[in-house]
Amino acid sequence: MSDLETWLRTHAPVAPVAPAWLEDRIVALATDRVRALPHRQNVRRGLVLCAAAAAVAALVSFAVVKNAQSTGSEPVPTPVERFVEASWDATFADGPDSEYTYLSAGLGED
Amino acid sequence: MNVAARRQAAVAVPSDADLVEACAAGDEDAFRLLYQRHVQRVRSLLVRLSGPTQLDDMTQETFLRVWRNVGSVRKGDGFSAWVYSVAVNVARDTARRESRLLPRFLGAAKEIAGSRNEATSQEAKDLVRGALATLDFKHRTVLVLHDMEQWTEQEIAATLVLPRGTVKSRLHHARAKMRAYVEKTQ
Repeated sequence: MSDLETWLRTHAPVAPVAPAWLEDRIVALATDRVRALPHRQNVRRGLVLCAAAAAVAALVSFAVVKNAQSTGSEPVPTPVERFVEASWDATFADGPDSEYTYLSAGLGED
Repeated sequence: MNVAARRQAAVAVPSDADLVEACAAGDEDAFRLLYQRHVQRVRSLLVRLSGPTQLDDMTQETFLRVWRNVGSVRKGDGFSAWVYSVAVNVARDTARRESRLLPRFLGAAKEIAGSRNEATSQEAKDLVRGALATLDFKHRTVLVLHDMEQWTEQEIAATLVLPRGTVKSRLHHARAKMRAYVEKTQ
């Protein structure tokens, strides 16, 4: 054995004794991590998917509005608007002053 | 304790291989026993490879990797050699991340070594630590494993997956650099 080797062996740095809490922390982390990982991964995956879906929806609506504005066309009515319009047409098909309209609206004479 | 009781006690102490098997099946107590058996040697190796700054974190990371990968230890392979190779990897990763801290660490060690002609035991330890810090990680690993942990060249070659000639040449280079550093600072 060379002098250097002996010197190194004699003065090699020695680690302080591991603190008692370290064992518990490592065991807790190890077991918790291993058991909880799939669940946490699923939650994280779900959040990422939701965020991505929201971003896509926002982009699509923005693009539709922009497109409608740039072409100068009327904005496409939403399903709710179409339903209200159709109901109005059906109710006042004969004009707002017709007898049918007053009767159906409960405004006719007794 | 009579002979029979002593024999029974000897039988009751599980081997590393038994503990590894139990650990791979998720047995926490087996993991604790493995930890208690190997933690101090792992910490010595880590402190020699990377210094004391992040010793607890490195210990934690080593044993978490052990827990996660214990299933990959093949039957018949030495667990202790495997756990030390995990520690070497953790120390290497830490050294990469913390490479910016090295000059400060080295400067402090040089100052201590240079300020006195006759080094006390603690100062000699600091000198060794400073000298180790001058080596790059691959040379330091071989030197620490061989000259401090007393591994054979063959064991180092097998653990680090290196040809034996490479281990020899790295050891030679590391010793030369250590010697030069010590001569320069004393």
